[in-house]
Amino acid sequence: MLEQLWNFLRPVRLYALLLLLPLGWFAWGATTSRRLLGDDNESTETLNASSPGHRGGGHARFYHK
Amino acid sequence: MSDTATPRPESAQLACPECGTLITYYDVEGSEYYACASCHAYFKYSGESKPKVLGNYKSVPPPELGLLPIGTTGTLAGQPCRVVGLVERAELARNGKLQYRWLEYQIYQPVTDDYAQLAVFKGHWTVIRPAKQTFKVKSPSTRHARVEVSGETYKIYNRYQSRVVWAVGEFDWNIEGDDQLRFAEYISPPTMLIQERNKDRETWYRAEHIEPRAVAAAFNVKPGDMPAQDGVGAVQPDAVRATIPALTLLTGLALGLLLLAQVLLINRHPPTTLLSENLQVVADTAAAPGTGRVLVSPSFTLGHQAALEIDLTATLSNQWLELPVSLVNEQTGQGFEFTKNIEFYSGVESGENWSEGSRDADAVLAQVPAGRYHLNFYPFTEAGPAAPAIVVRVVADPALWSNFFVVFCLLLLYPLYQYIRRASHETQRWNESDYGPINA
Repeated sequence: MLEQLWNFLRPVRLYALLLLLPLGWFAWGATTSRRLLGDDNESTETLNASSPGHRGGGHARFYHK
Repeated sequence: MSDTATPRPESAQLACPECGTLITYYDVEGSEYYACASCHAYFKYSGESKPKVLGNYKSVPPPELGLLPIGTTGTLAGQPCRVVGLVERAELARNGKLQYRWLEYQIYQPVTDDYAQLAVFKGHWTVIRPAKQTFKVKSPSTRHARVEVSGETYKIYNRYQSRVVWAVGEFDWNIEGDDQLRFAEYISPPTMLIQERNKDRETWYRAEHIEPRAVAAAFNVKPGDMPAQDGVGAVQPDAVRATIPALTLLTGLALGLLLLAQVLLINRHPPTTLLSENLQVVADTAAAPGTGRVLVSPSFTLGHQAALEIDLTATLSNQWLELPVSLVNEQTGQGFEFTKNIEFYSGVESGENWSEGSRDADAVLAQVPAGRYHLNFYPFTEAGPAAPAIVVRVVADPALWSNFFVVFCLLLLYPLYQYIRRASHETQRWNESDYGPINA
């Protein structure tokens, strides 16, 4: 059964590998809670938001509770 | 009493009746017509009577003449063979002029004592052999004429008469006698059925597409010396067609997997509303006109790193609002910022209601770490109209459909490209025919 499927898909085996790229990109976006085409964050201190930002410019330094 | 068979000679020679040049021929028993490579005389010689000159091909020889010279040996379909003749033909147009020239190589197979033809037109090769049967043509006089054989439909591709333009070598029939024949070609790539008929008889041939590299290999010619292909051959198979079922299945599987992953993601972390608040913009009299006081939302807690969607709805009435927003982590001071320009105008003109812009806006912030947050708003609106109120809603783990659709489109790119290639292939094939769907 699997061998039959493999033989059937053999002509497009390179395309099968190529498919892993967009699917992997989707999985990466999902696991890191990213929007693939970029989000709306304009803050330079949190453009790479995975590490805690240092307080710098922008409105964020004001009005902390 | 024993009977000893006389072995058939591999070749023999005869002198051209015009120029006396010795011509070597290979189908010693079968050939009766010859075209001299030296003076281009075309004559008949049956071996008994004197050669009878029938004509002369004084026109310019085809440029591909040197590709497979007369006498070239090779192996075609596992059979040893030899090039014994070459005919350049042309289609006879209705106005009596010649058009669409092609070459036909006579390939003699001594082991089986039969012939095949190798025809080449615009770099596309076919091997032609007698079909040894006749076929019934449906709707024969129409442009929908077709032959149906074993579930395959061969569609009419061309009808024509031909003329010999140039020839060299030996032939077992009078090539000039073909002038009276009418040809009809029916195709089901990679096969063509050729009907050849005159008043008295009807003969069918079967032509199969053969790749130039296969011809080159068969006759030990450098592949680079083969004539370049132009367009798509009449029975040139579509390489994409064979991959379509597998491509369709694989793409379907990938799209299904993507959809499943999206559904699982939504189920694993369903969208959760963390904040829903109504804030009223208040003018800051100490600042420039239009500047509102800074608004600070109540705090909310994000339990795990996630994307946040912030939905904003402003009660605007014929005014605009520029709204810089900061999301501030109260424990680390980490900040995220975005700005939304919201404007909404409406009115009545000539009895028609109109509106422009929207009161809603939203933003997505990705990779927001777990923690306690609040939002700061720095509203700026045009002075004069009533200060608007802002309804803010913060949703954690929004379904990122943009991710889904971006990848969805990427997955469809290659199948779409192949679909266009396939359509282009068929279009190019039928562009060479008077019977294609685009000429209907």
